Amino acid sequence: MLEVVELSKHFKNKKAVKGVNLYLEKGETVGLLGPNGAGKSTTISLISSLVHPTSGDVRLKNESIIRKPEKIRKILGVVPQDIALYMDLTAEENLEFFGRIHRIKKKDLQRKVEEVLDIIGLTDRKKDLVKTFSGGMKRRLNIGVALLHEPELIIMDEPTVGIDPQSRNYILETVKRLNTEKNITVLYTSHYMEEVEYLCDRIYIMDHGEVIAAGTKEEIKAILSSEQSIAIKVEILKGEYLQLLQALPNVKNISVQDPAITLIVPKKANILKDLFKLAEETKTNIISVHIETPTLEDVFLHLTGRQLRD
Amino acid sequence: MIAQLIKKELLMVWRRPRELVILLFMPFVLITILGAALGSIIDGEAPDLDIKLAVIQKDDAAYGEEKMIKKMASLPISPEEKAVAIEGIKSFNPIRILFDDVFASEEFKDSIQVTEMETVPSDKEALEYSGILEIPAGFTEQFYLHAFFNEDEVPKLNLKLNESSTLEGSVLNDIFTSFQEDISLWSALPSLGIDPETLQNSIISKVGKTETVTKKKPVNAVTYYAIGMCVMFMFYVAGNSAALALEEKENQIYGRILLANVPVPIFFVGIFVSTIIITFVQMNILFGLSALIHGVSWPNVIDYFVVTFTLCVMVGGFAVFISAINYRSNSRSATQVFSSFLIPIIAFVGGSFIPVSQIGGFFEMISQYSPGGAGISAYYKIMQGYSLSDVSSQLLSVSITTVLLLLLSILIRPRRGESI
Repeated sequence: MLEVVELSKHFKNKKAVKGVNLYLEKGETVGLLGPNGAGKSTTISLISSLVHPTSGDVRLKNESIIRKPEKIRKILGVVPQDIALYMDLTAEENLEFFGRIHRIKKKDLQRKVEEVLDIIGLTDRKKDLVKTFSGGMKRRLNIGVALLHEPELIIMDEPTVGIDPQSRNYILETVKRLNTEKNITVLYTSHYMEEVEYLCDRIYIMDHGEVIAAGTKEEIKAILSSEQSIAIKVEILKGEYLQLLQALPNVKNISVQDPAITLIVPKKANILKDLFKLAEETKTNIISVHIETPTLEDVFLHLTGRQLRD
Repeated sequence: MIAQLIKKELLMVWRRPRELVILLFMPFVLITILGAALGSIIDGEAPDLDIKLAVIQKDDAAYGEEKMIKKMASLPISPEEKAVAIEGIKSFNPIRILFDDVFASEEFKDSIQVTEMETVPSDKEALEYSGILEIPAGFTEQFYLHAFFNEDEVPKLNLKLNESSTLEGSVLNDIFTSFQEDISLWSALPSLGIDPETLQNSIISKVGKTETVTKKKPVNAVTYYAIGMCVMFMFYVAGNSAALALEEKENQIYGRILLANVPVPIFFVGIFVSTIIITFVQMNILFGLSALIHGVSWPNVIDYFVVTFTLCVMVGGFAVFISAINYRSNSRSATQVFSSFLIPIIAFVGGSFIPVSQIGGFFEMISQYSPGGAGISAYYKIMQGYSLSDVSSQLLSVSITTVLLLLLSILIRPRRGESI
């Protein structure tokens, strides 16, 4: 359905996106992962035709949209990272405004507004000003505006940032429903790995403006298939212990979330003996040790050297 | 589509009480305050003064006059010449003129309260007076000697002002400086062979016959400030519209609007038209309130609407221009500079605070064609009863400004596909 070919965008002193290639098939949900500054939002702006690329192409059903952005705009709904709504208008007025500028006919508009309000669960608050809404309700309406003109493809740029778990679950369920029931293709970016794991069929991982890994969840996890993750919980984390762990020959990656340490090591390597020995030497009390198959978070850490939320 | 953009703008302004206070409440309060506080300056009225003047009379004016008449009578000149000179002495007693023609004049009788004293008051008592005037002994005699016999110096009055009463002191100082100059002039006239009374009467008759040059309706202070403040505050609509537009960009609403295939120029036309409408409504509310509460009424309503509409279009041009700069520079600095720095300058140069005709010269000329000055001048003339053709140069100046602003906006507007 959509194909991104060698897409690049250079600003004055910065190469924000460097030769990105990706594709979306009709009806699938694709995750775009990356830490802050990875180039996700710029990539979304390029795909949605708001920004001209320095080079490369975006092709919709085999037609370039660079020169004719109207094509993609008709079938595209974008949920921006910010709450792109008028705070001094009611939920209904916001939907009516965006519906009208999408040229939805007056006779259809009211029905579509009611439908969207029902999907996002704000029917009973439709007459309230948006500025009186909670963060979660604003996020839901932000999604609702992108659904009004019944898009085939929806791009969501971190739609759950800064909201409570209940609203987050509601949004995730809504996205899942839109994808399964209405067959809407979704490109979803997030800081939350569990969201991407839950929603997405395939994942692209971006860092420093480049796609550094791509594939299904299983394919991505397979990057670390020969490795295992060891999570150590200690009473008090000592710098000396950490340094000694880092120096171990089989440790490929180490991350710290005080008082826990996560190591990525080859499955074959038996380093448990060393862990305890070093703990004894540095007088570190180990509370627990968990050995797990690597998660997407571990893969991300392995690839970028950073936590997703860094 | 443009209708939706406009409707949204109107709702946004309507639902922001802070903006409404700036656009409607503040100018109306200022019209009332400035009209009342500076009304006397505009209307040419004397401010209410309460001048208390202590006069220490050491001179015996009647004795001085009598002495001079006797001296004149003893001179070896013809009886006719004596009669004229004695008549001159009688009619030109400076102290009598001071009390009867100055202190008791229509102009000053209500504002100057004269208390005659024999001795200098104590320091404490002196504080109760705006000034203390001492008429030295022999003042009248000295005046006549200098005037008719060319003897002695021109006599001088001694005035001490109370420094704490600045305005009253200043008025007293002006009165006595002027009076002293008059004494010097009058005392020189007889020696030049001119009859002082004739000259004085001639001057008075000329002043009395001064006519108002224009026969148009005079504009009072409240009306002037209604015009001045309305013209000043209409520019805040432009600043406000540009700020709202930038909020749309910062919150990615602008991107969302573009994604709905709304062309960039249409978005800016929305800003332009909505600003015109908001300004037009603002002007009519402000002038309507001014008419109801202050009695500011327009002699020709159609002319008023034509001028108002022309100015509103210019404000729309400003809104688009500032928005274009904001969008291009990705910052709100243009709005901030416009609202905090440029509007006060436009208002001052245009004459929103003081009538520029009182400054005159080059400044007045610049003001006439500045965005605010042209507006004030056009309104002012319409208010005076002039016709639209009389304000065509002002309307042309406003229209040229509008066209320039729109052309510049087209040049600097954001292009499709530029970074948002």
